[in-house]
Amino acid sequence: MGKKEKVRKHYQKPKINQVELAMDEAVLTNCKWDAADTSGKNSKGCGFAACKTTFGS
Amino acid sequence: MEPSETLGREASASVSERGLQEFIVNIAGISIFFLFDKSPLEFGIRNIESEFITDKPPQIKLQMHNDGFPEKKQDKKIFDSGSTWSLYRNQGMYLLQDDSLDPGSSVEKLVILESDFKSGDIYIKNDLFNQNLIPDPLGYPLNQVLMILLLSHLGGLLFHACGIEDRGLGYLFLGNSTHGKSTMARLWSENQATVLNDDRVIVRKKDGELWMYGTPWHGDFAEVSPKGIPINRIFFLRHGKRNKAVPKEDREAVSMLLTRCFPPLWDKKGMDDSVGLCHLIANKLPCYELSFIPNSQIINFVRNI
Repeated sequence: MGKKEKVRKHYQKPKINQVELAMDEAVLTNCKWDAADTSGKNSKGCGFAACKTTFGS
Repeated sequence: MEPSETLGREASASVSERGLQEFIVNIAGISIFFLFDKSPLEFGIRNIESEFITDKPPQIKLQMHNDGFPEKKQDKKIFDSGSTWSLYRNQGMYLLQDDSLDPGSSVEKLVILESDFKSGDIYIKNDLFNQNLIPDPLGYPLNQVLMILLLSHLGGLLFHACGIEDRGLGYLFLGNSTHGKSTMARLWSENQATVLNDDRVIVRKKDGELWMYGTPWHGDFAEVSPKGIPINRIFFLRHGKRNKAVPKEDREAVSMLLTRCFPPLWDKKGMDDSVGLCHLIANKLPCYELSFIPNSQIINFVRNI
């Protein structure tokens, strides 16, 4: 039985992928409370959908 | 029958004369116990109703206070969003607050977590203590930042995504704002599918599979489910002139996953784990970029992929 031929992979230089984040979304700062009729920041009256959430509704 | 897990149970509880002073919320298999130090009746809180309420044993216990804030100095800044929240440490504990660390900031909610993430305290200003805070006492964005912290500790990742269960299959549609997640949720709902959530979905490893779980934090489409199901396909949404699904290679898919999730950017190990989970998702699951026209034809198009 012949020797199993070793298959060598061509060397590929590692590549750096730069990932661009939408920062206001990635760090949860995109509340639009200043544009809405609110009595306080982050309130349920905020215009941003996530702020309007009624838990589990 | 495909496996699925209902994490919460349809539940409601009325505040009795004695006063209901505690409840447990279960999101993605993580149970959080909230305990009041006074009867919620005093604040007009009369009922607690949510499918996310559970009787499972809690993994984290949080005591709620409304009688002033403790004096806590910042030993070490961890992360400051600059506006809606910040995180820092004091004597080994984690402190999460609903404003920046700037001297002029006005903090109305403060969470203090022990370093093992098993217990902590929530301080809420008295005039904010009302029915709207129940059963999600923290509100946006602290509720989600707390979950990001817990997931970095317990495993899992919060995605900007819409989760759908259709005919026993789990589809995860990822996208940032305006990419069509709520539209997709509405279309699937009109076609007898279950919407887990149209905006925030948690992915965790379970029994060698990748599962997705509904959260309470929805977008424009308000129906949510606490259910957990295995994921069968991943779609990256974009608007198009025709319905088209283009398979994505692992490397591209990992990049697209990373830009559509909420990783713990302040935590090196947490970031390593997040990238690792994105790699696993891209390796194990078929991923597609999905261009679509917002009408019901997309339903059969996806079913036939």
